[in-house]
Amino acid sequence: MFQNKKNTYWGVSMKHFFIGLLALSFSFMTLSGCTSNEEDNRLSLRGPTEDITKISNPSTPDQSLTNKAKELLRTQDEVTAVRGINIDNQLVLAINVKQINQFTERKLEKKLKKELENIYEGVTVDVSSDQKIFIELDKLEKKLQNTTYDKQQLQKQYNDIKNLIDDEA
Amino acid sequence: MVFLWAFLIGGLICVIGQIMFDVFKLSPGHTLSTLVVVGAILGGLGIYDNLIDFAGAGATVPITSFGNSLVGGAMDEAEQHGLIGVVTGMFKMTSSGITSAIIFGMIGALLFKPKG
Amino acid sequence: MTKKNNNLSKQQKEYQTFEKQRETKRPVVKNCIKAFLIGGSICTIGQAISTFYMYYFNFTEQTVGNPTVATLIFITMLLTGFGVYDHIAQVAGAGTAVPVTGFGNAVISAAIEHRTEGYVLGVGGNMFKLAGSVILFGVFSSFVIALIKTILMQWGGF
Repeated sequence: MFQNKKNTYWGVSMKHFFIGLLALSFSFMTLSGCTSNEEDNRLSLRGPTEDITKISNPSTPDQSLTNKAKELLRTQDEVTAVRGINIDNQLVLAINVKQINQFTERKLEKKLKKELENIYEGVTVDVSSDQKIFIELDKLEKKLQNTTYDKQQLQKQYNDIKNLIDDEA
Repeated sequence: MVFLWAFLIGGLICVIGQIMFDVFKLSPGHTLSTLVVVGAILGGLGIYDNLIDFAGAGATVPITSFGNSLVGGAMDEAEQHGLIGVVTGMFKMTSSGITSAIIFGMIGALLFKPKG
Repeated sequence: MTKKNNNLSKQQKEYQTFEKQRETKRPVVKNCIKAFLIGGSICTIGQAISTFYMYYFNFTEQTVGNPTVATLIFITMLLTGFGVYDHIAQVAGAGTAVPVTGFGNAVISAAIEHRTEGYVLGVGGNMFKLAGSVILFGVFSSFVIALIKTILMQWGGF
């Protein structure tokens, strides 16, 4: 009797559920691992300078400040990718750091912000290691490559991202 | 990558809980309360936020993050409003967990029948 | 008198050894492996939920913990309501108790169980059996820690 009751707990349906749950989570892991690797491979195939996208659409406000700042950040060992935009004297950048350096990513972003502020006087600089800011700036950069943004639109985008950064702080 | 570390760190915290169950023979109430206090201490030291950056959900899902959020909320408010902020800001960041537990508990009681 | 005391304590000692022999042995390593796998899986699912919220909604890395926890507790409600959660918890032990799903299950299962006693006294009175100690010690220890930290900061002139 007791033996039978034990079997219903470990019955076939429960084992399958357990295995299914494990399989689901492992597949999540591997799938996302695959996608992130893909992105890295693609970036490295495009060349060492291509993980910083250069915005060169002539009708949108000039992004040369951003491009210069990105070059500087690129020289840091811990940084794997940079995205950013600037409008007038407001600059916002997002960095991706190596996994092991994510323990100290907040210190790093403060240090980089100070460095950039010293180099570019009079410019409001924001550096963020937050994944969300990176995603948003990445989306924005992709749009900037294809469509024109006038000053007002870009300022609005900048304000939205700045609000996100200030929210988390 | 962050998925791998979420799995490892989350699993590690659960193993610590399991050791408290099996080796130290603590009840679930004791274990969870201890883990919350540990989370609060690590949050106070500033270590737990770095762990969240590293492991993502591996650090925010276990109950230890509850303790970290409590301290985080209290400290944020205290920085702005002084000592009284410790009391006023405590549940700022943890309201999600407790509120959803209460709401879904009530919805569960309304919808589901107790099983023998 | 002393003879009687010695006999009693001897009996007590004998009973204790008897009890230890009969006690169910816990396979510690096996339990730890199960807890690791299932606990890690729950956290991985949580990470997937977090990533979803970060991509499609306006949550940053810092604030995404809130909807993630709420979603996980919602899933826990479904699992508890349909009776599936207990089976997983039996296998996983701390693997389901340590993540926020354990907290959610404690509240939700108590609420469902005591529904027959009425909503006010049954559900309301029994919901916080486990959650109560977690909240109590969490809040009290955070209070002490935040107090110490604030006083240190004010003295240190941070």
